[in-house]
Amino acid sequence: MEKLDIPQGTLDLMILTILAREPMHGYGISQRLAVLSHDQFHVNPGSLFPSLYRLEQDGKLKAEWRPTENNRRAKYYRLTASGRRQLEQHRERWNRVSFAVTSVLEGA
Amino acid sequence: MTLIHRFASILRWLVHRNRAEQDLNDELQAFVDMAAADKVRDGAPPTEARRLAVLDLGGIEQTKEHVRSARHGAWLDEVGRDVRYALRMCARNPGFSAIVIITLALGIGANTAVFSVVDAVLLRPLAYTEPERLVVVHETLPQRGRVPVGAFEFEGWRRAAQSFDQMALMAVAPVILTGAGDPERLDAARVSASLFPMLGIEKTSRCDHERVRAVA
Repeated sequence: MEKLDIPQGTLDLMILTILAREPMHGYGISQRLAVLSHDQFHVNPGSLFPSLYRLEQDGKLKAEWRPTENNRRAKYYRLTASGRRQLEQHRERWNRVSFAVTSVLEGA
Repeated sequence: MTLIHRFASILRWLVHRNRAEQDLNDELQAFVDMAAADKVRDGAPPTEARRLAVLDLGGIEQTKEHVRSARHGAWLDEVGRDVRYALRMCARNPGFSAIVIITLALGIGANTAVFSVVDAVLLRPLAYTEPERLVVVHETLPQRGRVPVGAFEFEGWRRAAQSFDQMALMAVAPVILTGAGDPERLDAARVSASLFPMLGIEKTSRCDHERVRAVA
């Protein structure tokens, strides 16, 4: 089946959600996104990395170089307090949006 | 908070650009390495795995460019590039550049001068009370054109006039100031005493009075 494009504006939300559990590097995030979406989403690194950099610039994420389990070096991103707040806000917003859309679709 | 972070990070990018670029490069290389390792584990030949991993990424340089142009402050880079380009073009053809710059300078200067005059003469109201009610009345004779108004006629006008609240007499008479260094020509006028109250200039200082009298 053809993979889905990630809906506009939800990539940040998903990145923040994944990083809320544990710090992770870019490749790890893309892998987790694929797994968690049951392979429905194809994350293009060409949009993943710009998002990571912008979130870091806004102070939502903090990055540091660390060794991976396989002893490579990778840049790990973790959520800051401000990122956690943003996640809560986005999540709550998303819940409202998806509830509203579902209601319309089922009510029509 | 977000703004401060953003600003600091734009600054870091400008100051430590090489390190930031190196960092981005390392990060993307690490991404490709990890993706390739996973592909090898899934059974792809090592040389092929790396190529596929780069393909997945959509090209290392392309991704870098995406990141660069998505960063806050990316426009600064663009402005920098444009300015450098402009300067290079100017340096390549200095004669033409000089002519253009001089033309622009003269044009802007002339415009400013003209506008200053228009502003002072037409746009700004006169610094008198009720400037819209001020008019100048001249006396002209058919053969001789404009002639000075005599004090006697003026008194007559003032008594007979019904369209004017007040009238005052004024005769422009430039004077030469001597006795204080080099002689100097001054714009001056002889005026009747009613002029200043009429224009709403009440608080002329003593010093001004003295000067007015001295000139008159």
